[in-house]
Amino acid sequence: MLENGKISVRQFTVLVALYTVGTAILIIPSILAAKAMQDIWIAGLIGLGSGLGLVFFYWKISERFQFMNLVEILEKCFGKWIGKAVAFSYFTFYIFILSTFVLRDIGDFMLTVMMVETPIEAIHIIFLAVVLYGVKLGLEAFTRTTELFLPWIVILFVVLFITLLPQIEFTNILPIMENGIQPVLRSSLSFIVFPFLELVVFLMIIPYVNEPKKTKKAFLLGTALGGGLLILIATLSILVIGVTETARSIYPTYDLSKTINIREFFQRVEAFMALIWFITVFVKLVVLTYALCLGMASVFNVQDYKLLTLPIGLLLYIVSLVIFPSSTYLIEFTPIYDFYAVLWMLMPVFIWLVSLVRGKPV
Amino acid sequence: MKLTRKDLIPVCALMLILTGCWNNREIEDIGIAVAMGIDKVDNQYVVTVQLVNPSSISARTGDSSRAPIVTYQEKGKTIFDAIRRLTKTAPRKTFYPHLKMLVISEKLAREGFANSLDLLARDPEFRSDFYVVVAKNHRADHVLNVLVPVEKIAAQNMYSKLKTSADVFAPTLALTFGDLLHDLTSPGKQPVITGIQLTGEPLEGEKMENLQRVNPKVRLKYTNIAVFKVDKLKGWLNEKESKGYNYIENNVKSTIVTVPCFTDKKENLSIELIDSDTKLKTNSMNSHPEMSVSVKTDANIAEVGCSIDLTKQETINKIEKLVEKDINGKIRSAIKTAQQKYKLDFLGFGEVVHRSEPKYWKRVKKDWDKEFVNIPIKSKVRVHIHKLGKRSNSYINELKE
Amino acid sequence: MVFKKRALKKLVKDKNEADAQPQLEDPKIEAPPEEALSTELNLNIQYLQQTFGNSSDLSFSDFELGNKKAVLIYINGLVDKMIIGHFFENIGRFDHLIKHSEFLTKTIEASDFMKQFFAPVNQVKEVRLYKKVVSAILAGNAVLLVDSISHALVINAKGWRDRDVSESATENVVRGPKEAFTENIQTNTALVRRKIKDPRLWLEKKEIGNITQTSISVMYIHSIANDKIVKEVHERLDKIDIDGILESNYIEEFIQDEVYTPFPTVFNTERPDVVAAALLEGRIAIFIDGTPFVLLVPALFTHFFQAAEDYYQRWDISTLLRLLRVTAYFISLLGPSVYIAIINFHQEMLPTPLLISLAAQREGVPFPALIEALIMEVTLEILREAGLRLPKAIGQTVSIVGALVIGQAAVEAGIISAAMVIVVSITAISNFILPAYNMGIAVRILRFLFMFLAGSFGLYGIAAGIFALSLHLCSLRSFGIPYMEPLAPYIGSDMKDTLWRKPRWKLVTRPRLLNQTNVVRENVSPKNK
Repeated sequence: MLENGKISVRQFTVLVALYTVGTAILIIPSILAAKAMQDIWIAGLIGLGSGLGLVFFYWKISERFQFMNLVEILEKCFGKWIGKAVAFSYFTFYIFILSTFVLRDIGDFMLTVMMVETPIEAIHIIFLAVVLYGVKLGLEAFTRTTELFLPWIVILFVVLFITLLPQIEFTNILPIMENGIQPVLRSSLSFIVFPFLELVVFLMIIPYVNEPKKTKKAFLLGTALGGGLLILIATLSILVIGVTETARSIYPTYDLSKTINIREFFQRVEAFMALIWFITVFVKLVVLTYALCLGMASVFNVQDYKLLTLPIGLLLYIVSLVIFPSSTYLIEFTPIYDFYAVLWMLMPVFIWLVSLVRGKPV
Repeated sequence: MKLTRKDLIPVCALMLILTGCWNNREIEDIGIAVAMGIDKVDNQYVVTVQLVNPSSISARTGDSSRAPIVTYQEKGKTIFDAIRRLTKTAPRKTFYPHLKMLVISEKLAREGFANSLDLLARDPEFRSDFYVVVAKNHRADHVLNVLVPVEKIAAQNMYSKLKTSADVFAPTLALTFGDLLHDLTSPGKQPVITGIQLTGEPLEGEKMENLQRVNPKVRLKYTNIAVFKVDKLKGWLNEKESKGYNYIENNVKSTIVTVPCFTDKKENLSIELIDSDTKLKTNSMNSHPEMSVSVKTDANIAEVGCSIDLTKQETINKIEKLVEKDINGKIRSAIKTAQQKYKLDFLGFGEVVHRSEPKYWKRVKKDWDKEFVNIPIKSKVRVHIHKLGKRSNSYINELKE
Repeated sequence: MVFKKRALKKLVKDKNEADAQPQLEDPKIEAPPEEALSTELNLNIQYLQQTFGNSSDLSFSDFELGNKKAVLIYINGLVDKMIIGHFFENIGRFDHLIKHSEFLTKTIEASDFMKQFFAPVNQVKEVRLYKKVVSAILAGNAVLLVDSISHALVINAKGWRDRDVSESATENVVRGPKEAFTENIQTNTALVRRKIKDPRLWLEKKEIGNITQTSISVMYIHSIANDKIVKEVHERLDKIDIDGILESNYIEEFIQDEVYTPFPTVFNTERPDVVAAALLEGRIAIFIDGTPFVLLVPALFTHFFQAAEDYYQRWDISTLLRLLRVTAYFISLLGPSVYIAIINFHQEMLPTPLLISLAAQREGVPFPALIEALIMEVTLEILREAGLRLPKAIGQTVSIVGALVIGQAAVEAGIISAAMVIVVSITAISNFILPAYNMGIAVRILRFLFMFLAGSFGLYGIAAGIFALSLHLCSLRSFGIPYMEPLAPYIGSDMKDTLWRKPRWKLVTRPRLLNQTNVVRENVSPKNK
């Protein structure tokens, strides 16, 4: 066993929920608003619905292979060597790239709105150091930490929601379906890709839940909670700062928290609100890096995945610095990434097909 | 390789060294900008920034011999250019998150200001919650150079003045930069901005003397609302139209209405509106375009200047009718100005149409202002008077002849 | 488990070092300690004198018992003079009886008579080995040696001056029992037993310390305490190999799970009621002779926020006090760092009037905010330590000089801003509110780390610090129990007595991870009946 720790079903739910919120909380309102306009919530609901379907499918794969981890599933499916090769490319070209995006997201965010003059390297080093520390401490420790953070997120979010209530303008979500269903569907695709598609990494974690059979409900519930929160935030952005500003802003959630102003007294709290996504991004990156280390360890038969923490961390650091030359590049890249990610989405489908052809495994 | 705890020591030491770089700026080394004025001279922007002089304001070290504010001015091809040039004259790096007021000169407003403001939306240092006003008949820097008593920071003074007047009187409009951006880009509403004016000789206002007088020679005063076609100033509304505009926009929180007394036409009654709610509606626009404004208001009697019997419901009904007529008159005049004088929809009817009739809107979106001019707009006001204050009938009724 | 391995390694290392050093026992001793007593009295006496290096406090009282020479050996000060006096009085009174009684001289040895003679009053034990004799003397017994008899009588004559049971000096309460433990382990265990009158209160004794031979007692309630943890405690205690144990911290450092952490994973208290409450929860108490501080394990993070008083006041009051404590904890941890972060990095977060006021205060202060904060914090820590070690009267002077003179003078001289003095004072006071001193120290250390983080990265640095700290806390365990339990892993049924305290009749179940079997507290709730 690569990992000796066990987490509870409840902890798994929390992990999934915060992972789903992840980096999406920062940018998803803007991405959704760009096409779906004021129908952001419809796009969100469609996305969440399909996302739940996707999660159910992931879980089915996991169940079909007796809750093995992803690498083992691939090996079972395609034979040892091809399986390893596929797993390697999957982890390199999807999970690893995804991790660098996540790291880069927090770096870009800090650099754009909070600490303009600080070098991004410093921001990345600090964040990565903490993440690697978490990965090194192991699944149990960082899952417990996630659990510890949950109340803070809830409190901050409730504060955000309540303090924004006076500024809500319900007319902002009218008219419904102005441009028909098509842009809404296109938006919901972005929403499926980011973040629901990314939940595939939990195939690496389900095996270490103490009752893997019970994870179905937990997986779906976590996704629904996380997705629901995202829809709420996105809709709130529309209701408070309007469609055009939401779409034009790079970090609408941050702008949203900037508008908090209760009687000229409770205001300018956005830096505290930023803790919400610091936490969720942290959780997401820890889970991704952990899955990456674990996956690579099983590909290369390394007995202790913790040995890989530092090299993978260094790679992450370097790649995250060079992956986007500019913000514009990122904006332009987002739609391309949707299709790139869907491409990788095909793999679980492929696994499923192979396993169907081969009959019941084991 | 294994990270041990000993490795943390150099990291911690490094942190100590790193301290003091990057975004770290000491609080006393920043120039807190509270107001910014933008003007245009010879195709160059003139930016005036009003900085706070903390040591002359603070309660403990308050040194009243020094001016509480200081302004710096620079020219530049863009706003950012000008702001960066400010470092040549200003002793400290200017810091904008506490910006309260943005003053645009009337000249720039007439030429169109939209192209100059991108920095304020893009730069993370600018929040979008500062108010925007137009300096009517003045240069922006004249407005910023005035020293004002009571609230010593001039910008804070302007800020709270605008907020209060918009809250309780209502011919002004507390428009934040965020709202302005929305209005500039929304196809269904043309922007409007409140004007600000100086009374007296601008140069007198710069002197400390102005602070020390009981009745300052130079004061800042808000005027009415300016109408824009996108970002170009087209004209000014008068007080009646301004109030009408605010009724339509549902901006009225509390205001007063003065109506002539029906028993004695020379005297007046003052009614205080305590709550007002406006609804804009459209009727099936394709077949029979028509829009309507309906205002529902709760009011109290504030002042009675003649002898009337307030204990009779009939009297109250009469007063209500008078108030309704007065408010309706204001609304009509605002609508009339919009449709006939400026031919611009600064009232935001377009947005209502957009929400309720998206198909029709798609067709007329391009030429909404032209379409708007011809659409009949109905208006209806309902006033309900609740309280009489702490007296029933006025002592005026019992005055000795 | 890495930490465990490390602790073990340390133990082994210590042991090796101890072996390498020359044995402390005197090589001149003729008779090896394993050997039995000789029949010849002189030889025995000679040996004992040698063993103790002719220590002046070892007294040998010669007398004749029957026709034989006898000697009573004891250490002055460790024995009760009254008992010794009685002994000789009795010897004098019964001497002729012993001499002339045929029954006595023929059938049984004189010492046997003595044994029976004293048995009803004092504990009397028979020993045959030198080693036993030596340790008996050291433990404060009087040893009777009689010529030609190859065994000794150990008479319990222990009686030295102990501190009386007095009020607790470190954990005061407004309402609740006032008594505190003393330095005497027997008094201490008795204090607890008086509160828990149940045969299931088990007490297991050990002696640790090659030289000091300190008595250690492990106390727990059988059938409530988790057997696995009890076993673990014994195992860890047995591994300790050290020359001396003088205070409970000696033990604490050996048995704690993680060495490299500022957070205590063993709880200590000097209040019998706290120990009793912990035992009822299923925790295990370790008594150490010579110190009034008793260790409680497992100790979780939340335990350090529970004051004894919480249970003696109404639950709503206790709950508010707990929340206050948690708030103070965060202020104490993050106060100066958040101030530094905001004032150096996030000036936009301050309301304008406050910003202007702070800027005016800082004008003319020659140091960056971080250095300013460090100066103040270090000064404060110095004052605090100075006040702590000084006699009470002087301690007060120190705090007055420190607080008033230094603080005020520094502000007036413009070296330090007034706001910084306020922040530092609030932080310091917040730190005092924590009932557990060792937890407070942990925060004091970490506060400086956070100040550096804030000074270089602002709130971002603080957030990163909090993440790292949370990860660290969540990775800790105390005797196998996750340190942050029941917060993480979240255990709903255990939350009732953590950040808040529910009414007593709702505290029906014991903490889940501590006891698997006997979960329900009997007859706690009137609703249970």
